Amino acid sequence: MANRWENARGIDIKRPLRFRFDGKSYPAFQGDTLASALLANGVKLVARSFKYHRPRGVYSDGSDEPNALVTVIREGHPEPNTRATEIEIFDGLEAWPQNAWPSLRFDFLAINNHLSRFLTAGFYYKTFMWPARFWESVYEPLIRRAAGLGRLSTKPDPSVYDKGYLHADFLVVGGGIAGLGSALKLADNGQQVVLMDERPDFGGQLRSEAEPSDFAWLESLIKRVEEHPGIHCMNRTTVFGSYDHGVYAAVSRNTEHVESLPGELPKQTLWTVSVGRTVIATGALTRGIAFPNNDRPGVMTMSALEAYALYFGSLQKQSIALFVTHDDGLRVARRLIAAGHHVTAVVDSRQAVDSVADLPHFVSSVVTNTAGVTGLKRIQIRAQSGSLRWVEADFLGVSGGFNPTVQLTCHQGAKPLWDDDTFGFHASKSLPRDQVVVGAADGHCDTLNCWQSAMSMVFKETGQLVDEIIPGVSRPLNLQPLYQVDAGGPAFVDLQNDVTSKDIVLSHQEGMISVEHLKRYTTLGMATDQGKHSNVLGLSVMAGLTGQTIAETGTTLARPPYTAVSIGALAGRFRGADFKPRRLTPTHHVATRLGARFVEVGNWLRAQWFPRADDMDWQDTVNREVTTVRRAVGICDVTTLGKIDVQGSDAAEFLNFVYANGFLKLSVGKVRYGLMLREDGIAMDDGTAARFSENHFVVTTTTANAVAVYRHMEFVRQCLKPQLDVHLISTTEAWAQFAVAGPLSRDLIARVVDIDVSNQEFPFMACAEIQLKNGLRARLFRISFSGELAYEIAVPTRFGHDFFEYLLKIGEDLGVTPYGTEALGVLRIEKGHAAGAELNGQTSAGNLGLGGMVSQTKDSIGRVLANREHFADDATQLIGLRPVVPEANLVGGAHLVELGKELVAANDIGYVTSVAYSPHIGSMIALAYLQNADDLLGERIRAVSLLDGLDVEVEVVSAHFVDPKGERVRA
Amino acid sequence: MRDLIASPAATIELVKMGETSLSENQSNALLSFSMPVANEHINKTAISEVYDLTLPEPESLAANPKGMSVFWMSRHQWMFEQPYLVDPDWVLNTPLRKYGCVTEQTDAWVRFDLAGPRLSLILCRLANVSQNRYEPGAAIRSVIHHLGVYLVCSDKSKIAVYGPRSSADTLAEALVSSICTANGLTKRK
Repeated sequence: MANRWENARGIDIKRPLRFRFDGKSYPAFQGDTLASALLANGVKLVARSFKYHRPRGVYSDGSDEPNALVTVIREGHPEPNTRATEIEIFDGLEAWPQNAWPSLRFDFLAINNHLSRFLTAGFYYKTFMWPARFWESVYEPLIRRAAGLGRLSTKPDPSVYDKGYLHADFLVVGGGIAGLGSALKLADNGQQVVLMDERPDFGGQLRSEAEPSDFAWLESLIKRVEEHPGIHCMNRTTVFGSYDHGVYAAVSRNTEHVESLPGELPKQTLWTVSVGRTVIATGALTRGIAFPNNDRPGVMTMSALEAYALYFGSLQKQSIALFVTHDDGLRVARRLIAAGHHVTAVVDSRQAVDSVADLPHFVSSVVTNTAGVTGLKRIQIRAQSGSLRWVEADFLGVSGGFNPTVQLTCHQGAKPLWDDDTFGFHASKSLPRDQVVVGAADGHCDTLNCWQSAMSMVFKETGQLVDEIIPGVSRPLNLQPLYQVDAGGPAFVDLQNDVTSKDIVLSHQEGMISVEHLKRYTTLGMATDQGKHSNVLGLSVMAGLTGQTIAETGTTLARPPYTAVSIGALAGRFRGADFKPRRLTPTHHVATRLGARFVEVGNWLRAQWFPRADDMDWQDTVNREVTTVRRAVGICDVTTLGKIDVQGSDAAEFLNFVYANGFLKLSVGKVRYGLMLREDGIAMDDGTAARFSENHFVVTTTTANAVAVYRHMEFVRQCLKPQLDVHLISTTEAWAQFAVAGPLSRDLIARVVDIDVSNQEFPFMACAEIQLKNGLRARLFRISFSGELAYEIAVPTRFGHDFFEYLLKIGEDLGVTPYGTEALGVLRIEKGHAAGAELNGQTSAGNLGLGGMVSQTKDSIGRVLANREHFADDATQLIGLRPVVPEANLVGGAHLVELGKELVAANDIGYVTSVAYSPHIGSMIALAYLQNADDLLGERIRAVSLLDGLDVEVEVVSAHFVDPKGERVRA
Repeated sequence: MRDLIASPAATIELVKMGETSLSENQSNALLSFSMPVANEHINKTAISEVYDLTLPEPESLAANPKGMSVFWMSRHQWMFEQPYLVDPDWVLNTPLRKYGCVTEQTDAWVRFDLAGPRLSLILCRLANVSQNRYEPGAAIRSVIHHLGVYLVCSDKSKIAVYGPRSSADTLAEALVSSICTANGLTKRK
């Protein structure tokens, strides 16, 4: 405790902790931040600067910190660029400095500091120009290695992140005095309030500024707020973005302040906050002054110094100086002295101000230099007379005024306005409609005025007067602005990007007149702090160069995020296997047990094939499955096909309009293949429609187009045919459906259904609502995708799992096999059935060989444009291909060229859509679109894929490799 | 042919953590009812008399003393629910057929029953719904982890979450994670 002030309110001296920084172990106390603990342990040098690798120390006490960026190790995972000023110490915390090699104290790249005259703004744009070939091989790798601050780990982040949504009448951003007052009084008036503050505790700047009596009042105010049922209090939560319609984005840091267990709780939560009104009570940041060597460790903002000295008690036995432009420096100096600190100077730049007797008050003076190797030791003061003197100072607190934190008001495009009374940018008068700004964010710089601005807002919002008296007096600053001191030496305007006032001068000389150009050329205001400290200083230098005021110079516009947001928080739980929801088929767990390999089909996981121990490889498995279906019977889970219930007295008329072919005359108990066109005549989807009763159809779609077809049909129902009595609902999930295919499929189906499934009683394209032999309701369809005698049978989904197992069991004597999507694909290619690869959004019914299905005797979607002039000019037809040499390979996407023709685009006569190895044919086979297909049938052409290095001679054949007459399906 | 065994939709372990519990309800049957625009008023009145309940307005639930409930799904469409064993052939026997189109939905959905205090603290991590809307009698259509869901509140401490059956595990994982998070973070504080 020797190095801590016993009255420090920010730490609990009864709860000692230990942490490690740069490999060394240090003591700390509960409540410490990494910054306050390092300062208490005499560690001033915590980082190296971005470009010149100059020694840097803690500059602020919050999220605005430009210097003290460190890498924190959590769960063995390094997280770079974490602000030491926000890291709450827990026992065992480990942090490392970054951007230094081989060590923080002896950094090799500190040589850049000696080369700084060559490394000015625009350095990269002017150099490394030749030889040109060196750019990629030498220059860029070197620059990339030297650039940046921390280093990202290439390993996955082990932490868990979460997302959430909040709704309220009011969002109050900022838990300082104005935010607390706003939240409390709004909630008292019946409003639901969410109060968010990025710090661990509410109270804002008043926590470190308040005298003991005021602090007790503050604590009681906080208690009232936290216990108020109408206020949802959220500490450690940064509102980082403002969006349209009262939507805000915020990140909560849930577990970073405690030692967490891997994967236990979300480290951070990303909140989407939707509110009616928003109170911006984000306070103000102390503004620095650009003077020579103002970046030496030990120089910090005066508010930070006050916090570290008096709230955390970290600066014991240190000599302290202040450099200010207003009256608040005198208040801080007196508090420091009262707490036993040695205040060596209060350097006050203001003119015509009387010196106070009780302080070493240097009026009309400025700080012109600093000294110290890796930390501040002395400051040089220049009096109005020009005389110079050096004064001892381990720490220097600087305040050139205050910058209201108005970034959230800018995110939707409202440019802040310069205020000549407070010498800072205030929120625009054209704020987003939901926003109102109070407290220091609105330019009020003392407790009383902050409170009153909040109460005034509450009156405007609720119409209720608030008459609570608070301790505190109005405390005018009497500010005389000073932005920079020109006295030779590097005066840093932007500490994070190593931008000096000279860089701005140079950029101006080189034609960067606009502030936007200045920003890009010098990198002023970029990186993690986004110009929170540098913006106004840079503009003031620019204004001086152009002879304009800061108001005339203008400012760049802050965009989200206010502070850096980790990618993990944006991703939330949606990563890895949880990137998207999974849809599991009813038989998923049976298939898993059978060792099936799965394939993603949209969100569905479908069994791709079912390997057996004696299969040599996946191809062997698929060949076996296909052959079994052709010779015996196989079962495939086709639940994923879209199923749409179409009911109503006009259901048939509706389908007659949606499909290109006719449906009015489809008999009850029959299924019809249907082709759906888009409005432009292009084929949209194909499937079947089964008529179970006069007013009840069940439409099936392809798996891929299930949602699109349902949406399309709803559009037709609601917008094109609202007069029809038709009702749609998706039943894809409700029925577990199985294709039972193969010459023995009838034998298997007959064992479970209670109807006659003979060809006479249940012919091809029949359908029925039936009962299984155990009484369970089911649906049976005599349809075939494989080209074999086949049925599709559907049972309520919850029974799908057991039904599948039951079928496999009772079909053992028939040689039944489960088959997956790969065999399904082979079977349909062998049969010449079109699927997704053929329905590719570019093909017409004519291309598919289904032109005759587009009825010309009725109106249907796509009919008119399918008949348009030149539409039929694309005469490619779906055909089959097989390699002349059976062992040859084929690939999808290969282009087709006639033999002897040059391999140029002009000779391209078609392309391959689907390929598979056909155990039936004994070679690869393909479906393809080919011009003049009728003329080329039986001819040999070339299939060429330059991407795959494939050039194969193929024979043009019918697309129906199996049973071209369709006898099997009707057997 | 033997009777088939019904499988639960979710296969992951559901939870009881603190005062919060999550279970899959497999005992109820669902039926969607779509009513023609014509004769809407007459049909509504008739249905009220048959079932002793009024077809609810958007985002609402209604129930009768016999254990049947109904919530609004979309325009002219409602979801009816009753214990499965009341009538296993409900879809065939329901008088609703007289007034519109019915579709059996029992197997299209998974229903998770979430019970406990302050359920909005759990659901706020999943669905973009104001906690004020979780009032008894509310039937809210929303999205959880990209999945369309209905959140139906029978009382303050009981919310039924209906989602697509095929994604039951995804939905269950989301709910379990949020229960753990809400409980864990509350304890941490």
